[in-house]
Amino acid sequence: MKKHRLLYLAVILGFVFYSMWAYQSSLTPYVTFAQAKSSKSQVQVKGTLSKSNLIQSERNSLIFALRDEAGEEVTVVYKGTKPEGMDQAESVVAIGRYNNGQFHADKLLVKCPSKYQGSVNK
Amino acid sequence: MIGYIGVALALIVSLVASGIYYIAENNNNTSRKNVHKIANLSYIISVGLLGIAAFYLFYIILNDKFEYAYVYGYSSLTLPIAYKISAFWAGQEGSFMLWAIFHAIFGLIIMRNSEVLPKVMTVFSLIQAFLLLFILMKSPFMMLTENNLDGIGLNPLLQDFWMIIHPPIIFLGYAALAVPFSYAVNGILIGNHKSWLTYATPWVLFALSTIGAGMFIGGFWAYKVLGWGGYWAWDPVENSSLVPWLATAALVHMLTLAKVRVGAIRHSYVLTFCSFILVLYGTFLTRSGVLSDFSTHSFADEGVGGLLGVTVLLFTFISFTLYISKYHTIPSGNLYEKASSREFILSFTALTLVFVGLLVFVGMSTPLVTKAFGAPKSLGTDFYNNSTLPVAAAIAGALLISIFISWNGIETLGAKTYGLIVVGMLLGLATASYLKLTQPLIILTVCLSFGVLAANIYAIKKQKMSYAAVCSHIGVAVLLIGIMASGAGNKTTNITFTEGQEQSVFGEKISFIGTEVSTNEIYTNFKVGTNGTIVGALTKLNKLGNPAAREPGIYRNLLADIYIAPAHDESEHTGEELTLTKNQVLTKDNVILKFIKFKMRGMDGSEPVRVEALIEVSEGRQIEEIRPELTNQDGAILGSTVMAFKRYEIHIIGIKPGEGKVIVEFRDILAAANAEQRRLEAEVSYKPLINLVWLGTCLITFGAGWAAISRVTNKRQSLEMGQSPIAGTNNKAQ
Repeated sequence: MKKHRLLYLAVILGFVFYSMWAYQSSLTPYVTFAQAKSSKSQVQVKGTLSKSNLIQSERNSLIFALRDEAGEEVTVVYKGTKPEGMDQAESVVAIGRYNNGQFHADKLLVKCPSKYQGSVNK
Repeated sequence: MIGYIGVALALIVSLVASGIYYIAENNNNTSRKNVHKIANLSYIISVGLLGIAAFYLFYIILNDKFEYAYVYGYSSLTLPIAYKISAFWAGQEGSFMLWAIFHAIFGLIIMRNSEVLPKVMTVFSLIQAFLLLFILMKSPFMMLTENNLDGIGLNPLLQDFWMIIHPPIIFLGYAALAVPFSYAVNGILIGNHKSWLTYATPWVLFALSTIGAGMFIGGFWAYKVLGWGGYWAWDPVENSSLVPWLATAALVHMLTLAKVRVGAIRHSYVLTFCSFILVLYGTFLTRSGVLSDFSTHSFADEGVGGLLGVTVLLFTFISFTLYISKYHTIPSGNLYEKASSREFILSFTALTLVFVGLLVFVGMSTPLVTKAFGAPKSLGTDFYNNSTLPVAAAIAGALLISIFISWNGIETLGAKTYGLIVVGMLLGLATASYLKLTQPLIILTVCLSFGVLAANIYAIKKQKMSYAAVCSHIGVAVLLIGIMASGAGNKTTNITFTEGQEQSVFGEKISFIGTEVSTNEIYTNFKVGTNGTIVGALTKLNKLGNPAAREPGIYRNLLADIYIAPAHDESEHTGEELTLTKNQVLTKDNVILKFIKFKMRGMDGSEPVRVEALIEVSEGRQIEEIRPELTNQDGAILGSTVMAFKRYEIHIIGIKPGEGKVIVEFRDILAAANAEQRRLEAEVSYKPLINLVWLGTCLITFGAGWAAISRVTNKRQSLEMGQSPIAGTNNKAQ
């Protein structure tokens, strides 16, 4: 019985530690643009669409400028189709990493003024 | 006003009913019956008042009363009747209403037992009062100051059959979980820790079936409509249904164990409380706006967030305080004697399901918790995929082992059955190698799941478990194979199609055969496969004629889907993109383009912002000046199309004022007409065995629903035979 208990404990601890490792490696902090630029790992940034630069969609990619609360601007490149409601967006959340002067987004969340109008883009 | 007053009165009467039910039990026998009658009557009145409010909401939607903010926001004159009905629950306000209605109806059903257990209704009516309070705080009956002739209409993404039925099915499950919760609280209050189990079981199974079905329908819709190629994104709104569902699934196994082991009653209490509280918690997360920067679906907070948070804390506090205070009176005991027993497998399964639930719970709560300690952090979906994979393998393993173990211990199954299982696992290995799956855990899970399928043939033959349980278990194995195969075996590529030309993609011949345009829809059609099946990717247009929703084209096959998501082709333009720099010439074929300057208008806000670009186009010795412009109208950026020499179409798609650059789309319509061939870029994916995902989920839902029905009939039979409802159920059933 005691041996069994130890075995169970070992298995459970194994699962728990594995999960903790998986958790640690997927944690994406919400940062300011300044922090995003100095960070090498995946981060999440939020900003409003900068009016000085209009959205420009090139073949299969979307390039636009975001401005954060501190007034800093960053160019976001997103490979994929333009999310619905991008033009009316109140603010845009981009998840990805900063590289070579641009923020390469893997995922965009468009925050619309209306209630249930978000859209999914991966 | 009718609606609002109806809900407000229903709230008051629910509270009154809750109180009367409470004192009904404490009265002496003669007056008890009368008090109880009054309690029932007041409950029925509160349901009636809610019913009036609900009918009124239907009335204002169906009669286009756009002076109501809710109707204006979710309906419109031209909306088809089916979507007008679904507009009832399309928004936050209406979906609370729907939840409350189901809750009220379930109350009428369990009211029949209330003479024996009146305090069940005390709890149940109290929950109803909270639901009604949510509706008051977030009323669908708010009026707008100005009268509108037409509404905004339902989000085109939600205009889909599956989105009509998805919310009602989910809310059936959410509402159903309040029933076992009420029975469990009552069980603790009156100190009868056994009788509630039998009453609760069919409701738990019903909730398992409906929440499951709701999630799966949501996933099916996401796959069919959203076009990113998946059915599950670990979004908080999805997780908030998954976590209570996992808790409910664990509870089902504990309730089964509780029939033979009193030790499982404590666990059943905790899981019953958790499953309902998790529903409230999920509602809080997705509707309070706390995750609005992390989820694509979250509702923005409009006043109900704080109340929801308080409700979660309150119900957690009440139920667990009661549980702890009566803990010593609840029967205790071991869950199992030895590892080779059905009891152990049941405990192990419940533990595994709780563990998965905990992982998802921690994941979905991360932004909230990290926010409390500083900068909020989100969690990548890798976490969910990585951490649940080994647990998926464990669940498949448990399902397989459960066949070998009966209540009495290990069983020998005979060479034939072992042979069958080995053949099944080899088939799994063959499937994995065919799909070129490489990750060991995925291969293991697929093999074990195939083994489970083989082993369950034996289980059916020997009636080892109830057919309903076997059905759900086969469903889990089928689902796991589907998830692993379609996920890890998924292949995606970007293809540029030329109209009419056939290309071979993932072993299928695909050609783009053109578009079909109607007033509010555009179909981009592809011919796929040897039989030349036409597959259309749909673009829905809004009132202004702009694309509002895009659905992929799916070539459905028994063994694999070909999933085609065209890249944007917003206008009919398929010209070439050119970047012009100020005062520099650019030669394109036999045309020379020169961008001279920008002219901005409306920067002072007096009119819509307009940017005009002066471009010189010269062909040979002729020069023409054109002035295409970009307008920003109510947030929508529109570019005008200008012709030069009646042959070249020029359209601005972007500008960089800072760098003095303008990006235009240039198209030689004469050449285009001559070529008459259109090109289209599309993302094509190969999704092997995706149908097993749908089949598996159907089997799980069906099995759980079947079990719920058989529990109800079992209970009725045993009551008719004069037995106590607890003793009458089948010990073998799982």
